[in-house]
Amino acid sequence: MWVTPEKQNIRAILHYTGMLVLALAATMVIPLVVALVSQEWDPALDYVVGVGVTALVGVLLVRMAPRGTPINRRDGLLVTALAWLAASLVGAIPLVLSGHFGSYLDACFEAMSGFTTSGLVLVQDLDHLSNAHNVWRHLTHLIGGQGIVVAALSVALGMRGGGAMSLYLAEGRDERIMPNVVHTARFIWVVTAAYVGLGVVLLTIVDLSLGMGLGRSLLHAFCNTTACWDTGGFGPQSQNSLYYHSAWFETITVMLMLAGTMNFNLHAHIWRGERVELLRNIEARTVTINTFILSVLMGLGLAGTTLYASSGEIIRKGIYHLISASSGTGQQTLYASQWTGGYGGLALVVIILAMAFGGMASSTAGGIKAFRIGVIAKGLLWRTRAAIAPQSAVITETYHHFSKQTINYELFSNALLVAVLYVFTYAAGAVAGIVYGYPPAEALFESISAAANVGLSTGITAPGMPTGLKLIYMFEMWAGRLEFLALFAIIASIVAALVERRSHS
Amino acid sequence: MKVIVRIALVALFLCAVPAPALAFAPVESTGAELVTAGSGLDGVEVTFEGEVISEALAGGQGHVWLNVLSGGVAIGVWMPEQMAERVETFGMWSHDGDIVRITGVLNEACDTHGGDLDVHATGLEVITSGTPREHQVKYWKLAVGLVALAAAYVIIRQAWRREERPS
Repeated sequence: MWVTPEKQNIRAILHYTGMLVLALAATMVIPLVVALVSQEWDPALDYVVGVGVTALVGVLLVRMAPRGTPINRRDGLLVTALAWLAASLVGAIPLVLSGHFGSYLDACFEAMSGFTTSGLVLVQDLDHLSNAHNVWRHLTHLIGGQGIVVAALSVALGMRGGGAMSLYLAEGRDERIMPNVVHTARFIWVVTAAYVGLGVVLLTIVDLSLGMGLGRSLLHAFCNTTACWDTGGFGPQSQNSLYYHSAWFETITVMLMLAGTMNFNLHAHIWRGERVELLRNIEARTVTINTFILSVLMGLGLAGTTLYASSGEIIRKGIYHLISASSGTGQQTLYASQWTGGYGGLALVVIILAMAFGGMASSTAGGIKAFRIGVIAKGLLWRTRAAIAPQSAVITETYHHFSKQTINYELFSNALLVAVLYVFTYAAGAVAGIVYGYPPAEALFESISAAANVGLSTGITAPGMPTGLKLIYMFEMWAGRLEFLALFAIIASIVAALVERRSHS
Repeated sequence: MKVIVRIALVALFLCAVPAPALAFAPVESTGAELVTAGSGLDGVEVTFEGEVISEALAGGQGHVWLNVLSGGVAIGVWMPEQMAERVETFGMWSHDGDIVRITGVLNEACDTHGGDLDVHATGLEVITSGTPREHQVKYWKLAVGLVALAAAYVIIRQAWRREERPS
């Protein structure tokens, strides 16, 4: 049975969406301060407009319902889905005012890409972009990577009840780390602060050693740390990681990408000193096995291109892009055209598979996720063993995910369902790209990159790409980040409302 | 003796043939062409023009990296420090950088730099000096932002007052 949202439900949904938008207006003060410190007066005004208009939109939505209005699980899903959309629409305001985007749609694409930690870019002349706008672009990674809802929950916007957990789970996070959802959100931010702090210090040292000034070193270190820890993929320079020509830079950013792709629950266990969980956890094991197999294939693929003279080069390029792809980050030390040119063949297939599989659940990574891949593999093993066992035998298959658990039909089918939805989205985006006239391999690569929130590009994503394809990739980024459920809730609600209106008329 | 005469004649003939001068001249290119895989320029001496961006980065062995923006694509150029000293202005938000003509060898996967695509420069010529970029402050933005903020404040205050009023 479809339940149509009542008027008061819609008002509650808009009220909470407005609160999240208001929180976003507050974060725009950060680039405003950066602009003032950097004496970038016109960009500073872009953020005065951004803060003002975003606050106004937030307030108009908040006043739809009184404070403390209860919210149920279904409405929580709708708030979460709408919050990401609203964040992209208002987050694009200062960007489009910068003059570095061809249209408001391009700025929305960039904001959606930033908040969903995808990393596909439509910014033009990035090398002349102001510090303030660069900080905002990377802040979208930080806000979106930790979760817009988590960001708001961590400052406890009056959402301490059951509704808060609805919003938290709706954001594509499967697990409670702490018993209280606000504490969980705060723990996520504490871990983030620790890694971002460490990353900024280390990358500032690298940047200073390369001869960059202190101010620029700090700015670049912040941008690159958030891009890697939040598995985002933006960079303050158009060459992305290649700009630095530094093995140290690549080593530190790979470490940040790996930390970013780890389940926050796993972080919690490590913080508590329970490091053995790393060895037993199904996700950690799946990621290790995936990475090992794909690394070997990547090595063979790159060796086959005859581009690289030494195994050192193959390892450096191969590992960097494999981790970047599987963690859903999208940092690169290659040019877009090299993907389909020099890297074509096996290495390209490996990158496509790594992007499609993705990182761990309850992290900032995208894709199908290692947990589901692990559960599907175990489930297949379980069903195969059951098929060949005597009829009276009871076959069970267990796995370790913070505790010993048993595979069951519900878990197995849920994992399969989400995996199928991802594959369908990857394929649909690829077909759209082909219809628009792009080669199949490039169209598939770009579609997976968008839906798995990776950000690696073969060059299709560019300001001149067709408007329809921009919208499709935006939808893929949004759907991929929400892992479909919240999106289906919106579609189902709209359909239910339409059906009801039709039956009344 | 005959052999010496023949060698001399062949040498004379070779000298008379017009030298394939273009084969030794650097290939004119742009950044976009240089990063196109399979361009056939790997290991070839190329020349291209572009804007030097951001800053010179340490490159080791008395060399630095200049990143040169050419045809919308930035390329890392490795060159001796002394050569890079000719560059005075680097492109960023506040400035357009010096426009330079770089001559050097393109490496699609440089063996000395971890497989990066780069150019090892043999020559640098500053064509035009960089200039400050004009960023006119648009004050209408201030008006829009402040009016929106004021409106937001009034609306939320009214809403809270309405909530606090005993029903």
